[in-house]
Amino acid sequence: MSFSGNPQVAPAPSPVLLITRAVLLETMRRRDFYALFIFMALFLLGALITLVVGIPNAATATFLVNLGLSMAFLFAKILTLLVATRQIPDECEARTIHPLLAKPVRRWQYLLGKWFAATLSGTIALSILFLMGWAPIPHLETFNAVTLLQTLLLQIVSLGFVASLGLLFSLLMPKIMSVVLLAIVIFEGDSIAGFIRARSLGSTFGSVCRWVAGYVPDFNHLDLTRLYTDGLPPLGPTDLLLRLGYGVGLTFVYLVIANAVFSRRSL
Amino acid sequence: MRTKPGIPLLTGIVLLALSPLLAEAIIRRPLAAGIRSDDPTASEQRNRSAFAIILGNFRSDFSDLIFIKTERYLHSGVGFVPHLDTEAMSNTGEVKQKGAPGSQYEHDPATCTDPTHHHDKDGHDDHESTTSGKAGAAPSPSQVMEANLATPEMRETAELKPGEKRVEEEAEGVATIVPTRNKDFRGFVGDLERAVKPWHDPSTPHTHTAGTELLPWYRLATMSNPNNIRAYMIGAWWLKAMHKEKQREEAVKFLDEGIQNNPKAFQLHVMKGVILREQGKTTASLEAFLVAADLGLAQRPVNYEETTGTVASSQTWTHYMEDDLTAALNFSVLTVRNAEGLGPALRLAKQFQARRGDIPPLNALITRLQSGGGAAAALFLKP
Repeated sequence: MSFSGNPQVAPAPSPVLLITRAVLLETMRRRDFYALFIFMALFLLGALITLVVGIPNAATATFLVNLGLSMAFLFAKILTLLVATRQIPDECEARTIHPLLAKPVRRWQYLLGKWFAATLSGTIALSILFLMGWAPIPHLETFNAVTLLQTLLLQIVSLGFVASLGLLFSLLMPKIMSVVLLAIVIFEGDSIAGFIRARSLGSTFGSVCRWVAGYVPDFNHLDLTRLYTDGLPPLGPTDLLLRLGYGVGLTFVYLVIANAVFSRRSL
Repeated sequence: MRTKPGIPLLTGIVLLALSPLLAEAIIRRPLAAGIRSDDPTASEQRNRSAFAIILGNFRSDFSDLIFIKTERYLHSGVGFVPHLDTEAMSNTGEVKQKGAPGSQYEHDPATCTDPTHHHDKDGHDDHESTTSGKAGAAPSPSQVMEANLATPEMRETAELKPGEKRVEEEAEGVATIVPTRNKDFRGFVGDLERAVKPWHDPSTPHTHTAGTELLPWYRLATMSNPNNIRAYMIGAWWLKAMHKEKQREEAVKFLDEGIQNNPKAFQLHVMKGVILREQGKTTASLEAFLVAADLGLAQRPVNYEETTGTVASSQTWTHYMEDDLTAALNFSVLTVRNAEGLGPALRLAKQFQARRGDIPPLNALITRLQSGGGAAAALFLKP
């Protein structure tokens, strides 16, 4: 037996990818997705019954397409929220974070891996749920395929945004509180921002309050479902870039802040 | 292993500080969605599908739920059957109002809290009578417009102070959601529900609470959905109905907010003009009416058929919108007539006519102005 040779050693995968893989495996073991899948299956069952009975008119078919898409997007966001907010608190509680960070894994790599995994989990769920909510319903009115692609693209951006906020919130507050608060921000952020804008209208500090309202994340900016189901053409480059910039930019910002908080935190 | 976040953190903070710029830019470029989803004909078609109704209940808009809540509130918590005759719907698929066959838009004035609905007159003939003076004792456009802005029930409850109630004598035809004992197959369970929930025997007179108590609900509805034009309209009307200057100011502020959120909703400009007119701000009210007229004329479909309320090219124009546009045109022309005389008013009316010649009330108004205004026209625009 000779050890003098130079055996082919596969390069070690990046820590980010290793963490991503571990989170994806853990997500598959958990029941969150299956619970959401069952809810979506109920919609699918109803849609199939409708197909058998017959959809009475085009408006109802379009309504069902809208509903299927809305449910798919909602459930994907919920899954991303749950995956993102539990990562760091659970690892701290189980103390598995200590051996992990003792290895040559930088904190930003750890955080990035968790973010990527949460976004990917949400995207995989979105793909499956989208097919369940969109494909079975007959499209009796005209729809624009490019608008659909834009809708899906912005939804994926939106999932990354949810994941970054989830990680940041979980670093700042207890897990349950971060879940509840993030759910409020995701689903009522536009109302909160609208309230601030409405209350400040015409007041001395109106423009200041309007500016402050701009800090409340508004996921409606990234939702084109109605545009698609109304059969409208896709967004122009400016509108699309503004929305992409909003989603991607804020995702980056919240990830950077989460990294800063995480780096200063003693475990 | 810890890292020292330096430049990325600084970049992040700067980007975060500037992020409202992006949000503001997006808000200033609203999407034009709503062509199908807000279309009343499509809504009616959706209502024919049991599946759509069942699934739709899961995602009822919070803003709409609040609107339903206001109707309950007005009836001391008792849930009366709203506008739809579900029995007729289940048999024919058509959306009809109990006791009001005919127009699909007509419904029960007793439960309607929408000031844009016209129950106290012959519906669409209201505006016709304003300009043609065909009724025996022709009401002034001001009176008719006022009538069109609210249901009789709204006007009556507007007189009530918070905590006061008014007994509605004519309860006929207004069924409760929880049925009476003789129509309820559930027996004991039905008795229990009638005992524990707010319930009222529909055969006896029911009470109305002060409508102004609904205002917080409309505030909530607009906060929940800034595009709920109906809630802005009704909320402003209730504020106006309090007949106090402070409340009128609040109403104008409320409408300004609505206009900012819905720049193309010409109905809000009409309501704003009416309130400003009440405040004696003639120039400002004329500006509001002119903006409303301009927006409305631009939005009105080309081949709208007034008599049937249908239009071939677009389904986004209802006869309520037609009435509101007519109001905007009438108020604009008549305000100019009062302020500057018959000549400028006629010129303005003809400008409107040049843009759209197919609006019968406008043509009738021009005829009247050309004939010198007439006796009934002398009553125009007395706030």
